[in-house]
Amino acid sequence: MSPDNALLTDEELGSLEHTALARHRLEEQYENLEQQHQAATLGIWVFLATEVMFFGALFVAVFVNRSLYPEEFERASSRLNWVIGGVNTLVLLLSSLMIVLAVHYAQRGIRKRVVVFLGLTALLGLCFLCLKGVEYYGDYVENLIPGWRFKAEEWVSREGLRPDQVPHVKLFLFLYWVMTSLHALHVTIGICVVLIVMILARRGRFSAEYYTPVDVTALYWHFVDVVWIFLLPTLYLLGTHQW
Amino acid sequence: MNDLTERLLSPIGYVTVLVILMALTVLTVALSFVSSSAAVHVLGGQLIAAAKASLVVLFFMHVLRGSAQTRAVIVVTIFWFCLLMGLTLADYFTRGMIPNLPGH
Repeated sequence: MSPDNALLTDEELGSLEHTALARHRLEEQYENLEQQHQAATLGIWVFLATEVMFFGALFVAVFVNRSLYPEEFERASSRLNWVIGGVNTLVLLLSSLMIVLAVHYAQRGIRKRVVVFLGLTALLGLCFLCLKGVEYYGDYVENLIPGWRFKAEEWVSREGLRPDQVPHVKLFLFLYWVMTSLHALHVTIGICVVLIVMILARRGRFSAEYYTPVDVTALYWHFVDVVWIFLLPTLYLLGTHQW
Repeated sequence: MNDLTERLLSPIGYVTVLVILMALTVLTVALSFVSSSAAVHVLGGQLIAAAKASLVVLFFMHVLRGSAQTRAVIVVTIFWFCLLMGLTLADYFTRGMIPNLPGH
């Protein structure tokens, strides 16, 4: 069966694809596609649980050290670019909407819209990474990279900290770089997976009966968004800002 | 077609959730401009983040009408994360309470 089927609309395709194509997708150990979908969903959720523990440990590190060194952490946090951080949050939230709509139309077997919304998700993900790049460059210019570009005397003279407090500033910046880079790596992997699923969708591999890869990818993408939702106040908004 | 699809949100519903999420984001950032104690900033920020995460999990990740298995995994994850955070913080916050003993 050719995946193109140019003579049929997407809705007609959706209603036809529940036969041979659906049976082809059923793995041996499952009774039906619904059970297979549930197993896949459980699998991705357990993976997301491990990711929560992965990022969670870093969040606990920020909380512990913030309580030990509040002044240094607040000063260092206020030097981060909250504008780009805030805009990136909005970008990721919008991308989450795009992928949830992709799943919505995948459930209805409307292939063209699935492809469009997956494409928009990947595009917004790329937008997030570009803004991150701009932000990282700004951090480089501002000497906020401990171990590479960092001037201890700036923090003593400009920010009024004591010399013995500077290592704690470096600690905050280290945590900032590790957490945001790790998150950016997850976004990059997410974009690759979204693009692969988009190509598979374009080739007609999914239907209203079988759209599990779209669903599973969406769950991963939403998780990446949730991590950023927590990263914003934890890293960027610890101190008070002024206009 | 999957039975669940009949009960999930419409596209307009998802857009509504997004608008609420974006408003909460603006609120989080605005909170950091209020000069008050650290507790307000940190706690307020985390509470708003938790509210946003809940909206994403319940509506975008379809947990509200999802299976009991999914809810079980989420509850267990939260429990284990609270253990991680709780015990670590309990260690750090009680350091120095018992002076002059080895290991303290």
